[in-house]
Amino acid sequence: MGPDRATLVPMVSGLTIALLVAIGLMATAQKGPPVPAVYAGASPYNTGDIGTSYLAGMLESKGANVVVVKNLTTDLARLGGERCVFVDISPERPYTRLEAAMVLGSLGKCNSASLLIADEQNTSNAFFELLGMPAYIPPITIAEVPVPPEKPSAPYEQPQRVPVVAILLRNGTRLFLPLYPAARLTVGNETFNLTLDIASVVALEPSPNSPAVIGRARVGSEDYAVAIAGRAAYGGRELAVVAISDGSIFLNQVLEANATYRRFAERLFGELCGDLKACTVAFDNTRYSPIPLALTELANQTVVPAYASWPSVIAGAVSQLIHPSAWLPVLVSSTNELLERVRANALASSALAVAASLAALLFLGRGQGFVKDSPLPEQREAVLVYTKSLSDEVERGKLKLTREDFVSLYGIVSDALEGALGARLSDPSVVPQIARLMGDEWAKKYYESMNKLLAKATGKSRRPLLVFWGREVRKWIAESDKLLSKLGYGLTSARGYEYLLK
Amino acid sequence: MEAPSVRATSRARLFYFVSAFLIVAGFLTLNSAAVSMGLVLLMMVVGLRAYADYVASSAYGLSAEISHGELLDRRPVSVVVTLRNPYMLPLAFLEYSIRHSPYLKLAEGSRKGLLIVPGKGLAKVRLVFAGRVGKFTVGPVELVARDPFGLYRSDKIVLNVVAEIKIPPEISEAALRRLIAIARASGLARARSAGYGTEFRSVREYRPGDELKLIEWRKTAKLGKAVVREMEREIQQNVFFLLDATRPMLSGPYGLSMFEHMARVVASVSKHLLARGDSVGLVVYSGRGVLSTSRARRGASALAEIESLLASVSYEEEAEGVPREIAIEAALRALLKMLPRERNIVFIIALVDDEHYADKVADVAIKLRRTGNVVFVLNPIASSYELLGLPEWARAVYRVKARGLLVKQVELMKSLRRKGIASIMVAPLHAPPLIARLVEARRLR
Repeated sequence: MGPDRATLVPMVSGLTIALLVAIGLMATAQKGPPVPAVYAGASPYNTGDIGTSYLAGMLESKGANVVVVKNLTTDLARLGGERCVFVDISPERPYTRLEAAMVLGSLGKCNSASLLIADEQNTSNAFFELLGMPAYIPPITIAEVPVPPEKPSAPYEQPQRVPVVAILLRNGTRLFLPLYPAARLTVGNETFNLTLDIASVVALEPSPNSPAVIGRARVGSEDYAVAIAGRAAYGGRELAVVAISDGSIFLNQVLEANATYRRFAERLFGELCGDLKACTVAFDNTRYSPIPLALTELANQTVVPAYASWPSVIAGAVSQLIHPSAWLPVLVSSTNELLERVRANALASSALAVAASLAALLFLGRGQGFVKDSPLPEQREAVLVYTKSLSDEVERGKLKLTREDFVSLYGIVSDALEGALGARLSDPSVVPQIARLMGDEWAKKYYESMNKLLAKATGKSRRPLLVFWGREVRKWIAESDKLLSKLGYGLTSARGYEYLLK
Repeated sequence: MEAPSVRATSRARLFYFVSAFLIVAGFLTLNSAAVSMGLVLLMMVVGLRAYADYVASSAYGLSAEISHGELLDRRPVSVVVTLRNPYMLPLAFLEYSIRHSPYLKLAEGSRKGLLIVPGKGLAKVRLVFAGRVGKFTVGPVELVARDPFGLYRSDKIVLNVVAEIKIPPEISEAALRRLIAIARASGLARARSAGYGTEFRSVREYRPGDELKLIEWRKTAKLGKAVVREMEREIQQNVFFLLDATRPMLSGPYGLSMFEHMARVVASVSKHLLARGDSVGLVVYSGRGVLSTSRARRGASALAEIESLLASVSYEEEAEGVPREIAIEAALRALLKMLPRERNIVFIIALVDDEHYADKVADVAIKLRRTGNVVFVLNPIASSYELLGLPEWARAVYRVKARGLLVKQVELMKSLRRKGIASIMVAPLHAPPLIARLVEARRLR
């Protein structure tokens, strides 16, 4: 015999659960629907083209402890351990010195810390200032510059203009870079040819402590630094700093589509983290603004694909649709309308009341079952009867008397007469003895009739021809009783002919 | 033991329906009175359920005892069933049913009804049964807890208290007087020999050793010499009864069955014989086994033992009872163990109504005779007992219809006589004098 199968034992009734669910639904409906938000910019929560959710996911899948900093005051406390990397990619709001100090200070809690800045604007320059690094990233704008014609043109022809990235250095120098300059970035001993996207440059100030240039973009005959790597000290702790003047190389649309850029990102974080499994990578989400979107705006083309991917949009839509605030008020008002219509109709109300009552009855009655009520059985009395069926039939008067019964009657009378008078009924000498008790005429008639009928009953005679035995037996029982009663042994008395037997 | 479960009856279904209808209809028609009434009805049903639960679980805690008054044959036997409630709250609407032996007839009282047992109090149910010889049981007590409206009822609760009542046979004073009269009138009362006894025989000259209290002083004064009274020595007999208490013997009208009648006869005759200094032994056999006195005994304690044996015969159905042919053999073995090595008188009282049993009875009688005992077989006439339970107008037809049974019994008796066994047909009205005559007749031989 195997072990008993586990069975579920309900601890709470179904009704209680249903009530709790109803209360929960109403409370949730009252609270209002969830409003999905999307983050603009290179947020790690942005699953759209211009987010960095792919990079965060990739690092997490390789075992890194990825932390998203949503609040510099509280979330930076999660930094710590062997190795930390703070990732700053294309921030949409500039870092203040205080904010930069908070970040650098939290990095000091790690045994080995790194700062990755990938910014095409000047929003991250506070880090360089606090670290005392002689570098900065100048801001960019898009400008159109005329392109000299390949051959002389007519004076009236307008020159062709092309968009370029215009960079203004602090020393007043203007640089113009193509929108998508080709660059070579070296990480460790590996060099990557990448195309930057509306990128700036990393401007280096003359200093004996200038960081190393690890990435250059060639424009014509000029090389511009687009990536640097160095070490700096803050708060008595040293940290590695990598700055790239383009954040787009880490965006979802780039990493998802291009293996070289993925390889570059892996290599870079491999250098910064060492062993990814022992590395905490903090993505700063505080530089990007969430945009709450209602259900109707989720399908807006400006959201998708830039700020959110279709799966997350669909998930957001579904979460709004299934929320009780979307369907519960509609259900309640529809039910109200239906009930109003029913209430207006007496027949419908009665039918509904009866149906609801029956349903309640079925519900309440399920499981327990209604029992047919019956009283406790009463103790029955029994009587042991030797001749049960005979006694019952005699008392009910259902017996049919036959010729055999006449023979019995004759035998009874004979036994009684023999016991009392010494002669049987068949003996003619009994007649005068009977006559002494009942009279001559009666005795003679009795003697003749009884013997004649006995002969008929036993088949010794055919006369009388027609005998209704039932009637005859009853008649001669009565007559015999008269005689035997005279002897003191009547047929109906308790002391009968049995007492004469020897 | 788990408390009994309480279930809703079909009546509760109506109440549920009505209350649900009132509530729903009230909501639909915005009738607060209907809703309130429906809620009140529902609360009432819930309350009744709670009460029924309470009564059911408390009923298990009731203690019951059964006591009885004097146990007399052919007299009312009073039995009181007492239920004690140890709890504070009263237990109302307890339906009860008192079970008892089906062969005991209720003369007064009600064996089922509704009880209210007060808190910390008791309730008594008095039943009066018509007493009859034998052993019977009263109990157990069955209870069902209910609410006042019968909406809920519990499963049956059984209080396993059972009392055994054993009713000894009535000793008829009239029969005793008749027995004594028979003994005296027939001149068979005295043994004709001198010896120690209570009856005066004659006077004689005093001999050394005679007790001084026997000196007849008047005669002594008259005759001038000491004379003493000479008493009669009574001859003691050992009388044994082998009484059939198998099922056929237990049949007959209430209180007038063959066994009951013969039990009274045995008790009455035994008392008479024991008063005369005889020894009496009794063996009662039935499908359940054999009951017997340890030996033939004298005196009041012997009578008490005989009465107790007769009161121990049970009427209950024997599921695998021993056939009477085998039971009588066991009875014979018990009897042989107690028979003294003397000439004893043995009365075998059995309903001989079929050949096989007749042969068995004959075997037993012959075995007893061979060991020097005087044996009589008394065969009660079954139909004459059955008659007593019928109305007068039905007796004539019954006699006619039942003659065949009587004829058969007579034939079987004749077959026993042909084997040399003294066999007598016995009817309800003439058993005691018959037995007494037979005993006194043997006393003189």
